[in-house]
Amino acid sequence: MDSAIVEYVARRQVVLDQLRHIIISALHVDRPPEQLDPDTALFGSGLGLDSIDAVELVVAMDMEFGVQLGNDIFGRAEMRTLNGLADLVLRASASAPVAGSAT
Amino acid sequence: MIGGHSSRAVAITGRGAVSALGADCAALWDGVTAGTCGIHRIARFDTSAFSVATGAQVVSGALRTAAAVVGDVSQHALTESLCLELASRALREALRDARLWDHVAARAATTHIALVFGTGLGELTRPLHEIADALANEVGLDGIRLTISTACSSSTTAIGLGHALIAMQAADIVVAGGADVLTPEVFAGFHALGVLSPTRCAPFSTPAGTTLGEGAGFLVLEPAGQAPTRGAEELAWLAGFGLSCDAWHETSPDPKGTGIERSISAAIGHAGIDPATLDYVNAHGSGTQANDGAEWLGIRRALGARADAVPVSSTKGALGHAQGAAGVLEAIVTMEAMRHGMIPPTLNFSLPRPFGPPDPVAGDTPRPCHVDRAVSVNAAFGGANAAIVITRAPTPIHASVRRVIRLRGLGALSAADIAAFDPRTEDARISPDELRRCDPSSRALTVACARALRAAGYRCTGEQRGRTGLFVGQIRPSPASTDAFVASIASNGLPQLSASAFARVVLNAAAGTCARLLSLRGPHTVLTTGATSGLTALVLAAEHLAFRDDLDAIVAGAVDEEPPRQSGGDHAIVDAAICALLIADTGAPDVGADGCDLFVSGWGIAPATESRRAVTLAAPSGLPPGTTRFIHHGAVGACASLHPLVDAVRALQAGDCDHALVTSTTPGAASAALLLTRRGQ
Amino acid sequence: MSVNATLAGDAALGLRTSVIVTRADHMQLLRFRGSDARRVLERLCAGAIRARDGQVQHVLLLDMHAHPFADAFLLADDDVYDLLYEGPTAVAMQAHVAEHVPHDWDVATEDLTATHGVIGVDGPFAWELVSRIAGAESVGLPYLTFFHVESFQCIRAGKTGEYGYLFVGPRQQLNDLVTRLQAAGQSLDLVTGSLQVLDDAALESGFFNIRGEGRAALTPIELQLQWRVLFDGDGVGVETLRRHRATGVTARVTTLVAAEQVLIGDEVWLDEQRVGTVLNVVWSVVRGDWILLALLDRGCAVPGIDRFRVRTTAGAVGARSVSPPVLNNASMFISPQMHSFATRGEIRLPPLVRR
Repeated sequence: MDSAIVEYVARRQVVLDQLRHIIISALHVDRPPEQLDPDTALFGSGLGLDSIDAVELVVAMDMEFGVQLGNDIFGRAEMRTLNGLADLVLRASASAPVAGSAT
Repeated sequence: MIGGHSSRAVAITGRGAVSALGADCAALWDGVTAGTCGIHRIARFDTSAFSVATGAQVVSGALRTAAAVVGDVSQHALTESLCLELASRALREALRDARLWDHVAARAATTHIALVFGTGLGELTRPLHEIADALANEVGLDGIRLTISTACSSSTTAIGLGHALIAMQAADIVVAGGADVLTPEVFAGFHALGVLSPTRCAPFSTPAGTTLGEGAGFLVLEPAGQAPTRGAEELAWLAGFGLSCDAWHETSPDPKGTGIERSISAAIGHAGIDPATLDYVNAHGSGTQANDGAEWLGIRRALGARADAVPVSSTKGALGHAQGAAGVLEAIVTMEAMRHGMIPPTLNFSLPRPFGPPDPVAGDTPRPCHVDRAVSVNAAFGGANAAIVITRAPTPIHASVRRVIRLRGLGALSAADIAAFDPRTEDARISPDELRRCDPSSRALTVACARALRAAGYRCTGEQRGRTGLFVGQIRPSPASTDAFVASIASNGLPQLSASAFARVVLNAAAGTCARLLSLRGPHTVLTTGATSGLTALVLAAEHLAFRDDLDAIVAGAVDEEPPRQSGGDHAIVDAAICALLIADTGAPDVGADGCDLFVSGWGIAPATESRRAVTLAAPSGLPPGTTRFIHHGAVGACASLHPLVDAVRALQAGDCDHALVTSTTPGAASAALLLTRRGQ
Repeated sequence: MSVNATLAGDAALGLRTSVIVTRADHMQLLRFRGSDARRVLERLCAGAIRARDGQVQHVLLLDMHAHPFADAFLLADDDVYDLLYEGPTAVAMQAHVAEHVPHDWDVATEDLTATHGVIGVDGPFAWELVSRIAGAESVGLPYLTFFHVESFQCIRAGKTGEYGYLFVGPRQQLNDLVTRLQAAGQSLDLVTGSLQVLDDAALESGFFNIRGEGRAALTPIELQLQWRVLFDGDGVGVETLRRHRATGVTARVTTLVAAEQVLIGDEVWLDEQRVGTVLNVVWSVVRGDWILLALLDRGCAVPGIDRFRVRTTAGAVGARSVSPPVLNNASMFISPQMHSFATRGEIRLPPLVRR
């Protein structure tokens, strides 16, 4: 693996850890961070978050990362998992990741 | 009369209203019938940081406080004074309408006139019951002052419990209603939850979303035959009321509509009428996607085939959502509809949403229609639903035989233990996920309530969930949640207010959570009479349970997460929550190991200055010989009046006495009494 | 393209745009009754039991090696719990229960596999079809709850990312239900589905498939299923899982997309390093490419890397890691309270394919 990928993965890891912190501290999900798998569904099944959490998450994404999500947040595929949220954060940050945009 | 219980029909003999349509009842009805929309751009505070700018505010020119409020709306003291001014205006109008004003204004004795005040007022500068105290003092009412706070169903519930006060002969006259103010905090909270309409509230239509409003309203209630003697008119009749809890979510209604259904069915059952004979339903119709869909399903469930034909309209397109005052304003509109033979339209209705009422009376003109029987229903955060039945002709109180009420379990949690316990140890059905957003008040109430249920061996399962209720006395929201709410505003600003913090500062948040965690879906309310709150909850629960056959039990108690320390006395440990399980004596389940088996042989509530009257109501033919008195002395906090109850239960179980009278009085609020009797006596 | 492939394609598209009806013969039903029923399920399931009062919970049963044994929906109603599961046979499940539940616990099990069957209804307008059969009341049915319709339990659950319902009821009434659904669904462009379509959709939408990657002898830690585990509980296999966790888990399943076909078992490389293996692969009719689930070294098991190479017998195939779902599920934008199939043209939807 070249250094660009290593650097990208490390950067992504930092974002994921921040997101996990939000889930635990702001949304009061009672789980250790390492048990919050990045592809786990946040809403409905999975962590079972609800509409109030969605609002908190939108606020936290703005406050922590400056990522502004519009209306219809529930519909957005990026809101489904931590990986989706990480994609949003990385896409919003100026430097593009190794692989270009995440799908 | 059945043992201290009146079966005389309850007349509505006065009404007063301040709303976005004007400063009195005439303006309200004229506006509704003219198709006037009271929703405009909000003028009283700056909405530029929000995506919504509309509201239905009371026109400020009509009010003294309004001018002062401009410029510094975030001060709770000003919100309170605006709330009081709205309430005072409406209250005076209602008294004038009922031809009581001259009497009140002359400062003649008014202890026979009770005030039941509903408000969702969240952040407070003082315990909630003091607002009603101030209002009553200002107007000059010296009777019972009972405050109800179940967010957006507050005034509907207040009207219902006003009916109960008449039926139990605790008051000759009741003025019931409520008031709420559109504050930047409430606006920001609803905005954060994403439930505000981008334009104007369009119930059952598009776009979805509500528009917040404000106002105040009161009805004068009294037994049949009384008002005409002083020249007042019996305008219509309050035939019954029903309460319920969704037990589903803090801010979203149960999408199946079963909570709304239970409140309507209870009201219809209480009134003793056939749903097929209903002529009109005044829906909550807040305009939100979640409410309107669920509400229509609930109306359908409750009314059956009649739902497809009955006109169902919501006046929130005209009035906005006046929060705690919505119910009384809608009750007044419903009553006027009956008197004028005109059903108010659902304003702003364009395209129907799927799965809505087939006849929403769309348009901007009222529909001529003879209305003999109508239902008005409201739903609230915390899942608290309330419905009332209004009829054109007098409907005698549908009183079955007074059932025997037993006190079967007590549960308590000391304030010192709040941090140390886990509600899951009390009820295995509670999962960690469900406790995620619970504040200390919610947890304390849930534990005390679960302990009371467990002590009695009462399992709330199956159909029993809807037949088991929760009445809670509380004087303020959880201080921890209030702090979190204030901190959220300070750190994020109002436009990014924490929705979960907002959802927890309604007074009934803890009761709603407790009901959800323990599946208590029956009659539900949150009330306060200050330190007498807990005992008042028991008195009203006993009354509710005694004459309705659609329920089995009510848990009644109080919660106060940081109760004031008492100097001296028997209670070194201060309880954060105390609950008692009251069961109607039909098919009672097994008594658990710790359960008690006592009869609640009498109950009463009276003005604070007439505590002996509460005792007389509890024991109409005098106290039985050998009655020991357990009196609440001076201690403050919502649980204070339940400490003597705990002592009384202990003494009865120990065989120290056969009868125990528990009394509590809070100056400025009310006096309550409960008579307990040991089994076998 | 063969007739079958065309039909499968129609069904795959139908699932994403209208509604499909599928005989879910891969699901079986075991009923638990008794005062210890909940305790039994806490033993059998890896996670905490939170379903109650008409709620449904997505649960995972592990074997003693901490590998998935059954993937299930748990339906709770007071003291009766229905486990609607897939993975093991009914016989294997009964044996598993007998092995792990102490005999003196107060529980009675009833295997309803022989008498009961399951019909799945999935798609962005599944709710509209269900409302025609089960009434307007079903429209208020929240995700992961159930209610009774005639002799069926109607469960709001699915694994496709779309509105999903499962009708569980007597086998002799299944044909009749399917006929009624088909008649009612004609005006909704109803298509008949298949297990393959559902499985393909599960991978597209990031749902676990016990018949796919579930057979790879992996634990919930590699499979990203830790949300279904209570690590300090005493569910079957959890002790093994705790030990496994202590050894340090170095791989994680990750979703990739590839333009050309790869096969299960193919190696995944990143630059000059072998980093993993393909566990499951499906052809996405809607996207027109292959969706892979690969077990990758944790150092590169993240979305957003486009330099993976899958070594197949036909040569190397480029692959890109992504965050599931790989589609924009229309269901996320469609509300029974606002929309209908008849007026679907007016609904603003994002492109179906997420690029």
